[in-house]
Amino acid sequence: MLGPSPAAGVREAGQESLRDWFFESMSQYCESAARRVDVEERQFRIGGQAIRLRFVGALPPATLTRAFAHLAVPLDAGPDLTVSLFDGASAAVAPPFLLKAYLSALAYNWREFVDPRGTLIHFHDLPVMAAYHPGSDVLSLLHTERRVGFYFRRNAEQIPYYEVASPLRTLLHGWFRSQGLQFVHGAAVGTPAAGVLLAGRGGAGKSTSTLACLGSGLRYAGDDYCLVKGAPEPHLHSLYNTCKLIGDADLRRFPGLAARVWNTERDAEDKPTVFLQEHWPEQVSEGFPLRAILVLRVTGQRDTRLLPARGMDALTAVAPSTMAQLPASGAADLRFMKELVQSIPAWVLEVGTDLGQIPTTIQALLARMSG
Amino acid sequence: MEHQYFQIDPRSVIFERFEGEVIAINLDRGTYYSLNPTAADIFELVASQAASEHIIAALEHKYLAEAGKIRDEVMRFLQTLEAESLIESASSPEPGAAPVAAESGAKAVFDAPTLSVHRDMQELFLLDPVHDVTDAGWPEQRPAER
Repeated sequence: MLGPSPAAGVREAGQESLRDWFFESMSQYCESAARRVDVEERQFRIGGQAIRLRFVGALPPATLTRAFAHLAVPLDAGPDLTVSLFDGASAAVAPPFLLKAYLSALAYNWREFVDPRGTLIHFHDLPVMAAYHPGSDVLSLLHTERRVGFYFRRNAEQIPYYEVASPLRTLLHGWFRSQGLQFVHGAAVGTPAAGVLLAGRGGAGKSTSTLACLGSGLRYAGDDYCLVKGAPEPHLHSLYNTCKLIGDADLRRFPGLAARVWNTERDAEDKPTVFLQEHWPEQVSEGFPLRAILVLRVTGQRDTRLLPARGMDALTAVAPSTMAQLPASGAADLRFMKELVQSIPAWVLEVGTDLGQIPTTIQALLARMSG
Repeated sequence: MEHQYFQIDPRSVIFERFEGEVIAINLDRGTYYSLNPTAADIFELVASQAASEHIIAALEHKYLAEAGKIRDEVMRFLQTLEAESLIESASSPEPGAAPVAAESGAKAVFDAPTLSVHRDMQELFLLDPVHDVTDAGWPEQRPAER
């Protein structure tokens, strides 16, 4: 019996052995399945590291790697991190008895087993990161010292659109946090020489501003999450080549995108999603030196303009929305983002309705900064 | 006068001081806060486990204000922080609590401490309560393989 849940973050006696038991049990379960079902491996260069995704069973590699397609590299012998993705329905083997009991209990009564943000109360204990998201039904488990992760669902059906658009967020955040790189919520455009992070909560105009830059000479590195290496020379790494639109309004603004939307049959609350690498690979960037943070404000006026921003405005625009959807984020993430904001200038980008002014304003800023 | 102590639970509340202000996030509530410089001073002193009397003394040393105003504002603000679950009462300071350093130099004009509360991220911070569980439970297996 696991007993009543402790308060979030309270360490129980024996938690270390519980954590190790859980990781070993999941590892045994996955390897046992891997001996019985098809395994397909793919590799990606993310944040300068070789990340191998190992699909065991029915989770679809083509679907879950579309967002990483621009970062695909050949398999090599020594990945920095290997993540096995598998599901209970196609595993062709039962999990060890106690693990099965835990997973069943988690599925039916998840509130007893996770903290308010989704980390598994009994097992999340560094170097093991463990989290469960009930909406996507994804259990994420990472051992940073062993460089191994697991991505587990009950089955391979009904994967939510956001899990296809920006997959493995929790796992990759945990891994790169351990490597000194930071997940940041924001869009990013730039040239190989220099680029900017566009910050703001959902609906602040990140996707619209990013799309307005397509074809301008500024390349796209993300519209939702990016990876950042910090001071002294901040560098932005692309994570996903996905562009999520704000419904019909964006489709009207950018009519060329409508025929390229991936999730044509979607629920009302799902965002139309386009994988830019599949249609405009030359517009997609793997990353660039990060020169500035632009805090977006939609004004409704025609013109776009830049105004000086306080560093605190930039930190407030970046940090809470970054941490909100990353269950294992905490003080180290906030400190990283503070240091990032301290290391590069911030501006308010008042986004106007004449979309062509957005890229020219950003290009003028980058030219001024490099001059 | 009896000393009142407070503490910040680092598992729930994280903060950084930046440009004189503080940004604080209550991870359990999904709420974030902006504190003006005076509020930031108080918050940092709470974090160093200074007693309420010491916090008042430190601010009276640093700021100019009419008699009693700093005391009233500090006590009011501590109540506000406690109501937001950013701080909690403590019986006594932890061993090794930092002493309150006296500020030197000219006193600044006292601005009342303010706490700006932002609740617009709560839905994102806290787990989606919608969770469909089928009768099949978890984990399922292919019947033929059982």
